[in-house]
Amino acid sequence: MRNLIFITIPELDVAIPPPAAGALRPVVTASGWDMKTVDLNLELQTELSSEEWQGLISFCELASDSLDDQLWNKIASICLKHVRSAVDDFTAILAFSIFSIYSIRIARKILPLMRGEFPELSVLCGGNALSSSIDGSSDIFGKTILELGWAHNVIYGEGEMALKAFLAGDLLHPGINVPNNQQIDDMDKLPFADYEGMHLDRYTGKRLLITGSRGCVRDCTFCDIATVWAKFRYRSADLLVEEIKRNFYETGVSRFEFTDSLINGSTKNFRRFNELLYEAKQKDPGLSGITYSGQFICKQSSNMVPEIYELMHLAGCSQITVGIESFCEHIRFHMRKKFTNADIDYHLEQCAKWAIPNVFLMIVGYPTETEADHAYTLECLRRYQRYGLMDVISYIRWGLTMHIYEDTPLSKMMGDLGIDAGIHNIRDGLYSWTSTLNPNLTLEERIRRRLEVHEVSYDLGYKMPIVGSELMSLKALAEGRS
Amino acid sequence: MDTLEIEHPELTSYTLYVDGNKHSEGRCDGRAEVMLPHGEIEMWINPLDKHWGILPRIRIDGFLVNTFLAGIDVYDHMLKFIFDDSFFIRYAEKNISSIMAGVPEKHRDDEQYVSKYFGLSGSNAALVKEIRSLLDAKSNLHNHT
Repeated sequence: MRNLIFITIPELDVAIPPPAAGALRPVVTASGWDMKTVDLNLELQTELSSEEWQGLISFCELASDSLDDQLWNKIASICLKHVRSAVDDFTAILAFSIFSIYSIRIARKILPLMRGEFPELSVLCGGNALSSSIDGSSDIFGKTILELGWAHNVIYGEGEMALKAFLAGDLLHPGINVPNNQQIDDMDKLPFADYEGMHLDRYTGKRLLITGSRGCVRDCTFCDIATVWAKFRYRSADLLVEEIKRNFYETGVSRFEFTDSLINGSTKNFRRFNELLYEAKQKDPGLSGITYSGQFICKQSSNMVPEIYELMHLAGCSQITVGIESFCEHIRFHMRKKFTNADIDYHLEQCAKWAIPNVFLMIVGYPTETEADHAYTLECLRRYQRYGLMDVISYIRWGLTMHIYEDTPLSKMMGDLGIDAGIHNIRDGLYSWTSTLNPNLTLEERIRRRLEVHEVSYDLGYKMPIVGSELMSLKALAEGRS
Repeated sequence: MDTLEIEHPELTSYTLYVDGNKHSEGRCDGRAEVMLPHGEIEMWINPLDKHWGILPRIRIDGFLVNTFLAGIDVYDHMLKFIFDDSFFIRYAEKNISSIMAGVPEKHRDDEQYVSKYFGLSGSNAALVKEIRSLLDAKSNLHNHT
């Protein structure tokens, strides 16, 4: 049987199996092909030293502009070793998953390397990054890949339908080689994720991914999700519970993480999902250890009524990641987040009542953030300290200060906000912008505020993941791009 | 003042002792909420038909607590714990100790691993200071040019 080698490249979360591999494997096998997965993201993280891995991540995340030659040689050697060992006489396609803009830089180096090494194989690329561009390129990355001959074909947008068509030889299907991809409307037709052959024991998170929805019900100014999925589409609650049960019975893994931008985009479906999962646990006590986590949107209390939080607890919600972004209401409304400070308080009270841990995602230095707003942020950290101590705000993530991506609503508001990209191009996801309407908010000032929220958060006992890595990236910003 | 809430469908009445003295008591229909003073807390509970062994949900100041992390000794007839200014700090410290106990042994000294997966990152004070120095040097340079 012909086989396709599915290759993932940095940067992805190394704790979980790559979601695209699980989602696309059933498509490949149903088309009569075999599929092997080579997770170069995991292999590199395993074989590089911490310092080397950090160097690679800084490069991928645009925080440093170059990759040391010696490091690249080592990366190339590791990548070649693993792909060579996977390729056999039946291999026909190398399929690269290029997940986000943070994968583009390393893809530019890995793709030509692989084309040179395996000239006889067909190379296919897919992933969200193909519709984006960075580093001043005026073309989307998928077009660049084709023009430079790094791959024979690319797939834009969601892969399930397009990959099925591609493997059947239909290159005219929307999204294949032309960015005319159409969003899948009926997500209930998608197959269940399949992680067979993926050495799940190598992923420290010991959890599986599940997709409940694509797209978002908001249009936040800093986010480009709408360019990937213009509409919010979700799968029915009963299919989600069935997929969880099946994967639990087949793999024994009891922790599930939703890939969704938000698991409660449809409050009604989310409530139903929790009801069904809770009912399933009552019927089969063997399922009682199942937990789920995912990204969640803080909504008005009239929408997310208390019963839903109780159901989340009963169904096994183990963690939600919430884009609070700013404690300042006027900033959030500028962001179009559409929830008030009272909504945050209500959300935290409900999560405390049912012991639902939150990861708060925050942005430091939004273009309208003033010094007084920053002081208010510090005040809120003190006010919410008890939620941190009691693990309701389980983690808080401050990121690398505000940066502006191309195709976000904010990138189209730059004139209104007096934003000057300076020497950098908006396509860089730039960090070093200034604003004539908020002239004190320079990159240096944003970094200062970022350091201060770090210190106050640390002193108050909030847990913050990958702080060392983020601070190293901030240092690179302070050294090189300010 | 903080509150103690206990909740179980078979809960019929309670008596709260603080430092050995009766503080309050009452009947309840599955749920009781009382003001929680500082001291050694003994919350005596009476389940329906003396059906001992129930484990009520326990909330302190609105937080559903893990009895282990909260240092609550659970008996058939009583919940016993110390409640004072340090209660929430102790809860957090015990949580962190539990997290660390669950970190695979080979990773316990791996700061990056512990930081990435458990959010325990240290202050990074030296690195913060270094970044501030960089910013100050740039600021000084800017002011002189």
